Amino acid sequence: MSAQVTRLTGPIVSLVALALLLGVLSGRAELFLVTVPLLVTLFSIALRAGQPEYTLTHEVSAARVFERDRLTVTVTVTAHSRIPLLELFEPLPSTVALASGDNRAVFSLEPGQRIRWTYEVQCLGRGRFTLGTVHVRLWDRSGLRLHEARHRAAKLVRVYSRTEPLRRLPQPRRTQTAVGNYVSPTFGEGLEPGDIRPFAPGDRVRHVNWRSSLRLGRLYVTQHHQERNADVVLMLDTLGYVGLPSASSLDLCARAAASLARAYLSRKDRVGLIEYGGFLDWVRPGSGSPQMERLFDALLSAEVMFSYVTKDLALVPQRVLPPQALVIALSPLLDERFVKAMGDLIARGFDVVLLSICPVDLSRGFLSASPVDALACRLWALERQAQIAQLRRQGLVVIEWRPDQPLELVLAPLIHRRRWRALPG
Amino acid sequence: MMRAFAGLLALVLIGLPILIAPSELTGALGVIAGMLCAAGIGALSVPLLAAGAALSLVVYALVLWPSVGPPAPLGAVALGVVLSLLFQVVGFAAHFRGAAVDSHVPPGQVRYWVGNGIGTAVVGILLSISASGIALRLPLPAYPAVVALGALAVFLGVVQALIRAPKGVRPTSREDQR
Repeated sequence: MSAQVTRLTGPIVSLVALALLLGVLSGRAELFLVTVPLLVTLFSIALRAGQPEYTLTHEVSAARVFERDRLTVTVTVTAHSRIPLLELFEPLPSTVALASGDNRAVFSLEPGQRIRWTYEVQCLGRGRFTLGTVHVRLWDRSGLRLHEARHRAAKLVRVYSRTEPLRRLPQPRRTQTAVGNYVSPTFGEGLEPGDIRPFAPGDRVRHVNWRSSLRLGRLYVTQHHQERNADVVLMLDTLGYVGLPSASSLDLCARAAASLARAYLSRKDRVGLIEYGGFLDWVRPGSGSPQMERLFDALLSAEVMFSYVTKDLALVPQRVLPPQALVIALSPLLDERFVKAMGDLIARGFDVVLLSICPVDLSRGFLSASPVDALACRLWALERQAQIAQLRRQGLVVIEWRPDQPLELVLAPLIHRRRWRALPG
Repeated sequence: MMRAFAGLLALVLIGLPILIAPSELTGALGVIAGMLCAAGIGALSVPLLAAGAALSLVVYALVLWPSVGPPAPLGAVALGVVLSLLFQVVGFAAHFRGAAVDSHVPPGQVRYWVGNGIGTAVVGILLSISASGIALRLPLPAYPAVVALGALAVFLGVVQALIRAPKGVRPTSREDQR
C-alpha cells in the first residue's frame, strides 16, 4: 500500500503562497490570517499519519454461467482500525455489464466494523474473464491524503453460449451401431414394427404375430426395426466474422452449435466439433454429459484466428470425422475456403447440411442508413443469393438463417424434407 | 446537495471582500471570480475553482490595500475557513463522483467539516490575538513582518511534512496471505 498526497493539495498550497505574496505586497495582516485555516488543514496531513488496517475478501456467486446470466459479487471488508473514508472499485471486463448496485462505493468504518458490498453483473457474451481485482483507496477526511492498494484474488468465470431448446432436429440419414432414438432400416431388437416373416427356430414367442398366424394357418413373427444412434459433427467457421461484440456471426453460430449439441446429445447421439479457421481444432465425437462439457468448453474459446494458410480437412482424423456422420456446418459464408471445404465433404460422400447465418442483416445493425450503405447491402445480398444457389446446385443442403429467427423455425423445413429419406446404415 | 453547499461557500468567498468596499473594479473582478467558481463547482473542477478563489483573494487584497485602519482578524479568518471548506467540499464531491456513497459517510463528513471549520477558526483567532500581543511591544512596521515570518515558518513546515509523507501502511488481505 502506498500513501500519497492528493491533487487537491497543489491548489491549496498555491493559494497559500498567493495570499502570502499579496500580504507582503499590500502590507496587510488579514491576508496572512486568511492562510491560517488552510495551513492548519495542510498540517493535519502530517499529524493524522495513522496506519489503517483491514481485511478484505472477494467472492463471486458462480464460476460457470451462461450468456445473459447474472453474477453476484460480494466484497467484505473488516476494519481493524478506524477508516474515515474507504473507496472500493472493481474494474469490469468489457463482456459484462453492471446489472444492479455499483462497482465503485465509498464507506466509513469504525474499528471492528464489517461491511458487505454487493453488486450484480450481467454476462453479455461467451468467453472467459477474471474478476477479483479490487482497488482500495483510504482517504483522509480532508481529501488531502490517501493510501492506495490493490487486492488481487483472481477468480476465473466461464460464460458459455446460451442454448435454446430444440424439440425437432434434422435426422441423420445414416445411423451407427449403438442404441439410440432413430429407427434404423435394419431389423433387429426394437419397438418399431417392420415386417412379418415365417417363424424360425430361435424366435421368441412374444414376437409371434398371432393375427397373421391364425389367418395364414402357420406361425409368423413380427420383425422390428432397430433403434440406433448417429454421429453428428458440428463444423464451425472461424475464418471470419461480422457483427458487433457478443452478437457477431461467430457468437450466433456458437449459440446454434451449443443448442444443436445439447439436443443431439440428449438423443443419445455422438456429437463432435470441428473449428475450421486459421487454427484447426476439433473435439472427437462422444456422448453423455462429459462430452457436452467438452463441447461447451471448446465453443467457449472459439475465436477467429485469421491465416492465409488453407487448412485441409484431410488433416482431420477419421475418428473425428466418421464416414457416416451428419455434418452440420455453421458459417456466414464470408470465406471461400470454407465453401471449398464443404465441396470437399460432399465429394467424400458426407451427409452435409450448411446452416448459413445472414451476414448482411448483421452488418445492417451497425451501418448507417445512407443510400450507399443500403446499396452495398443489397449488392451483397444478391451476391450471397447467387453463392447459395451455386452451392445448392452442387448438392449441398443450405439453410439460410436470419439472426432474428429462432433456430427451431430455421431448421423446420429441413426436418420435413429429410424425414423419409433415411438411408440404410 | 454538495454543489449547493459549495455554491453557498463560494458566494461568501466572493461576497465578503466586495462588501468591505464595493466598487466597479472589485464588482467586475468578483463577477469573473464568481463565474470561475461556478464553473469549477458545476464541473467539479478543482483547477477552475482555484482560479476563482485566487481572483477573489486578489479582490480582497485590492479592497484592503487603501485602508489604513487596524486589521480585522475575524473577517480574514472567516474567509480562510470558507476557502478551506470550499476546497474540501468540492474535492470530496469530485473524488466520489459516480460512486455509491454509503449513508453513514455524509453525516460523518459534515461533522468533520464543522469541527475542522471551528478548529481552524479558533487557531486563527488565537494566532491573531497572540500576534496583537507581540505587536504591542513591537513598532508598527514590524507587525506584518512578524506575521509573515510565522506564516512562512508554518508553510515550510507543511512542505516538509508533505515531503516526508508516510509510506508504509499495513494492509491485511486473506487473498494476499494465501
